[in-house]
Amino acid sequence: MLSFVLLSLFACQEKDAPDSGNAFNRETLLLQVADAMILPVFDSLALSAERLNMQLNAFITQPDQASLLAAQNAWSKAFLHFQVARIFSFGPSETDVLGDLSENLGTWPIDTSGLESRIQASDSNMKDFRRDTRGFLALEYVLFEPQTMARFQGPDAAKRSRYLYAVSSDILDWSRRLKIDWLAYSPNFKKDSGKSAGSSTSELYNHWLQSYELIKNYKVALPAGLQVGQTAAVPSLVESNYAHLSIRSIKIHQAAIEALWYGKGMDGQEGIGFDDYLLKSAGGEALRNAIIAQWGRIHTVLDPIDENSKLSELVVNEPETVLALFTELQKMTRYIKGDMSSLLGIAITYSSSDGD
Amino acid sequence: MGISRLNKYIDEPVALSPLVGFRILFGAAMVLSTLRFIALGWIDDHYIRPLFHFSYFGFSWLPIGPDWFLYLVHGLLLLASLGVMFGLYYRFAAILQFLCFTYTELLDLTYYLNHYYYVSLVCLLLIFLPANRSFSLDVFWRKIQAYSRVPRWMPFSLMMMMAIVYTYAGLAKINHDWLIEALPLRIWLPASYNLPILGPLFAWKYSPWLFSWVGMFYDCTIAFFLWNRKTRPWAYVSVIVFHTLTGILFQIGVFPLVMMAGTLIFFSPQWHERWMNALSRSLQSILPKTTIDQSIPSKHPQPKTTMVHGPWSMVKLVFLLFFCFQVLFPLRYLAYPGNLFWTEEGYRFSWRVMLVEKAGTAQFYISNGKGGIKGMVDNALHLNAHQEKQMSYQPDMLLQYADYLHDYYKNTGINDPVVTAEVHVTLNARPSQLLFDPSINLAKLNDSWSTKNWLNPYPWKE
Repeated sequence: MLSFVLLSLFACQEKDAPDSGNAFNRETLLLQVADAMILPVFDSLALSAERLNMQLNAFITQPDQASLLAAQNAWSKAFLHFQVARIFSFGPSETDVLGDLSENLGTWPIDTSGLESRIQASDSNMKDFRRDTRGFLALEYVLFEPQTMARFQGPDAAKRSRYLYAVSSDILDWSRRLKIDWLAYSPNFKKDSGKSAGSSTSELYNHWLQSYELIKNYKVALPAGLQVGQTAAVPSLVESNYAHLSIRSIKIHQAAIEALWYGKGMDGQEGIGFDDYLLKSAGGEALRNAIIAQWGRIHTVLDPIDENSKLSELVVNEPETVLALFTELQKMTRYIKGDMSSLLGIAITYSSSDGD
Repeated sequence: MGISRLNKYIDEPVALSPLVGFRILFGAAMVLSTLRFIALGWIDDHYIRPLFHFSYFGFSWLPIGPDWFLYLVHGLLLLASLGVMFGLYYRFAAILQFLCFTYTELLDLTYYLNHYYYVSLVCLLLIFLPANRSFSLDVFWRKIQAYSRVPRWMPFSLMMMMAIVYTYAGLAKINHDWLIEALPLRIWLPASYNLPILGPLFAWKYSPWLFSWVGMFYDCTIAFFLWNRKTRPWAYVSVIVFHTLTGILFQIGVFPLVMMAGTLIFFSPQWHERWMNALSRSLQSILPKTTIDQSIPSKHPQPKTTMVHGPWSMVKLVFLLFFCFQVLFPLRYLAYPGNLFWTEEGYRFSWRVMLVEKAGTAQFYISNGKGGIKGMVDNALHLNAHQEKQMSYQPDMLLQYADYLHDYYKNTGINDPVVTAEVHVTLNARPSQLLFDPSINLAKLNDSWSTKNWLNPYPWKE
């Protein structure tokens, strides 16, 4: 009966604006993430994909060293923007049956022989499950492999150009569509502040975590030979094997993961993030401090690595550095996977839980 | 009360109608629940897509059929539940319902829920209860003997089952974290701050304590208040409030509905007869005259037949043993040293519902044991999100997964793989700690009823 009385008491106090009282107001987090991160990121991605497409056209029309260099630069910029955008591989970014944004545009290693045979066969279909023959890293191979110039001036230049154009157009289509779709979707994203599986916070958290694990398990552990079945480092399994941007990709991706946790926008301004969410949770302050300390330890290993160095060489010549990086990244998982999911009070899987 | 008087008391004839009412409502809840399960695509998600399934202790032999078979089982479950609800070929339907439901539950430990266990047990009890002897198509179409009265232990057994669930759920709440720290409600309640009307209540500073204490008292006492005729109406109001609240707060599917329907077993025969009469009147207006039968009590003289006891004495004995087991089995945790919430020894099948907030992070490694590289395992390649979440903090599931990884990587050419894991577990907002020594080769351990000595001691202050 007591709960009845209290219910009616509180029911009377209800205001139009949701009052989070003792709780963290998730809408503020979603607002910050959408306005300061997601929308600007997809803007930048679309812009850099337009430039990339333009430079590639220029290169195809007149393949020389200058146009190649311009195309390569444009690719690098777009590729690095993509590292931030791929965190948001949910909502409009995962409506394609062929896979989400990260899978479609960011799969590696590239099946180079498969890609070459597609070029030879003039097969430029981008709507299939052969994701290892398209996306940014397929483009990287075509643009950065040692024979690029010779091949674009050789007998197969036309076929090669067609394929290059098809991959680039696919990236452009994705980027344009996502810019529009995220703009349209963002009001729903901000509004859906519930805590059930599939709510904005749950999706954001899950994909943020998955993206972090992509860095740890695939960008770092895979070339370092740390995955099951591997017996030694495999330099060719670095993400960016031809342009050698793997270290920069890791740094930018990691910085974005961290920025999202702090609620830092693309303009560098800090707003509401998961750190604030934790401060409002029972036991959250200790966890927040532990996470901040661990970000710090990751930086002590990651920062000294020269961003222009080649990860493919590092895994062979300085395996201890890469192992140290992996170890620090791994130490973070317990905080952001088990502990953090536990304190957020949101459902992270779809099935019914055990209620009474 | 001596044994013979107790025996006489439980054999006394009482009205069948509460049992019949329960059958109809429970059957309907099962129909809804099965339809929901199918509609949400969970047959595919839970049973077809995963590469590996966690088995219940002693049930690893249970085969998981092909895709069509799993759909067939759910189709049969739906038909069986309809059969139970309408009381048509009831005994057969009840057996089929029990087998289909329990089979799917036993396929993967990941999806264990206390409520599924409760449903399974009730399905089992219903097989032996003559809940189709009135207000059923068996009586109307198949002309089986109708009864109006049955021995008291029959409806009593369903009340007893309900009382065990609630009371043990309540007793489990009498612990430091729940009552003094208001955990896990201090984590769960504020997360629902933005619900309409109730949100501000959930976000109120003292609500976790209020809800913890009210919840504990509710669970401990509700069965007794429902049992007592005078307190019953108010008790049922609180059932509705309580289960509506938990239904709003947590992602718990159809369970609030199951409990709200199930607790009606405590209501008087007259009450059940009233709603069934009302139902029959509305059926009379919809259905052709011929479908109204004498088993429906309205306007018809009630059959006064009392069920004879003879063949039922054996069933009564089985029921007695069943309830002894139900009372004792949840207490088995007392036989284990260590903290129950940490070791989970004796945690399941004990009505510990929504009791702790627990999660883990499990990083497995495989090596050849000869000083080679310790390769890390990406759990996402082997398990779905739900499986990974459950596996990451439950010792028996961690062992099963280790066994699976051992065999899996052995098949890929690693000779006798050594399986180790760093498993950090958090409990009720405490900073996570290692569950066991990360150098232990888990592939060499076997799960059993004996104490899991390989687990670290409870790492926080008790």
